Amino acid sequence: MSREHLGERLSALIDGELGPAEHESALIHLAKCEPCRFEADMMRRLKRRLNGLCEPEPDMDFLGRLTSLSRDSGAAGPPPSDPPTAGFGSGPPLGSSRPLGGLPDGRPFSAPQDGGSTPLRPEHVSRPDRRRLGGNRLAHLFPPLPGGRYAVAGFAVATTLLGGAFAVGGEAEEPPVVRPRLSDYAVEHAVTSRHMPVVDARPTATDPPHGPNETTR
Amino acid sequence: MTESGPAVEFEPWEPPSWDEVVRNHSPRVYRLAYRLTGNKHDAEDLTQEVFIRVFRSLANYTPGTFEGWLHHITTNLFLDMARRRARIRFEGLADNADERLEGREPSPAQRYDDRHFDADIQSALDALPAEFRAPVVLCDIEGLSYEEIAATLDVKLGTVRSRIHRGRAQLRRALEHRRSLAAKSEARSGGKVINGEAE
Repeated sequence: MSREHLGERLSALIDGELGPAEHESALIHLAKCEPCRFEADMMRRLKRRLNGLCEPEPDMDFLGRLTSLSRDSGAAGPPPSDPPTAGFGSGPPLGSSRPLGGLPDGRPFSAPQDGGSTPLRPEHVSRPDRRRLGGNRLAHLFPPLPGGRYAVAGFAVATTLLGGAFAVGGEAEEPPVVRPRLSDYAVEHAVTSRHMPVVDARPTATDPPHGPNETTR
Repeated sequence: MTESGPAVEFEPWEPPSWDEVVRNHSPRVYRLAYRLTGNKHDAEDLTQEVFIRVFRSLANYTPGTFEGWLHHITTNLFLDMARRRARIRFEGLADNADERLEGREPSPAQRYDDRHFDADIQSALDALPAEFRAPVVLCDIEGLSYEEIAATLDVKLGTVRSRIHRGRAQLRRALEHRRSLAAKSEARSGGKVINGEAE
């Protein structure tokens, strides 16, 4: 037993990832086995070295670019002539998402199910394109939501804080931007606040102080 | 504290502003991206990719899960990128990688300052296949547990353990190899100087 070297267990040992029994037996082995002790020592040094690498800081310039992601893609809306390149892949083209207020048939969202499983292809997108951040689409579908559209629309208004200007007004002259996962959140909101089955949920959905007051009373 | 019915505890939660998100999280993401990619340009690209995804999913932000999620997308975007670029390398080192590692006895290499060493170890990291590099970086630089790494990479715990071990073993070999190369070239250049003086 003691002749069998620790192998992988050595890494787990120095990472503190062995169970108590294994840990103990590894230490016993280490006490008797010079090569494993040497290995463990080298590995600890390597770990320390890696851990002690100085931390690279992002440029201010670069941070500015990150910050402006929201402005580029939000306020101005996605540039219609600049659809997402193949990098963001297989989603529907810009503008193909449904208007936020829902369609006349009362089904607010019924985008095609393309799932969130679009393969990520970062290198296919050139840098300037990426900054436009045009790839908006409904990543997650959600089922027809009878009567819930006001809750959804009302909540979408609140999310303009995200930096995106949503054209929410009922009449959708231009297809408004829809963030993929926002839709999930909106549904969740509607469910948790029990507005889902109610026809007109807008007043409560946009009335934040209401909840806390009630609980403190 | 009266009970006002079950579970209507909906707090009007506001997502953080974009500036806050960038300010609070970009240094971490960038650091990880830098260690994974090994250079500034790719690190910036990767970080930007990550934040584009963050931006799209901001509404799903839940405090507490964010850091793990950032690790997850950063690492997986990196792996994806590495695969696509076919940058996965085999064991061993590029020829241009001169390197030295602290050995048991003091060596000239040990007099190198940290910056030098950073560059050395980074190039040794770069030479690791991405599948090994990611868990080693997550473990030794980011300080994640095996379990967290397994979740981040979507692999089994045992896989994490063996990849970390093999990754480190390769790193060590690489560093030692480079150290011996460096020692040789140093000896060679030392000889040249003497010859030059003799002329």
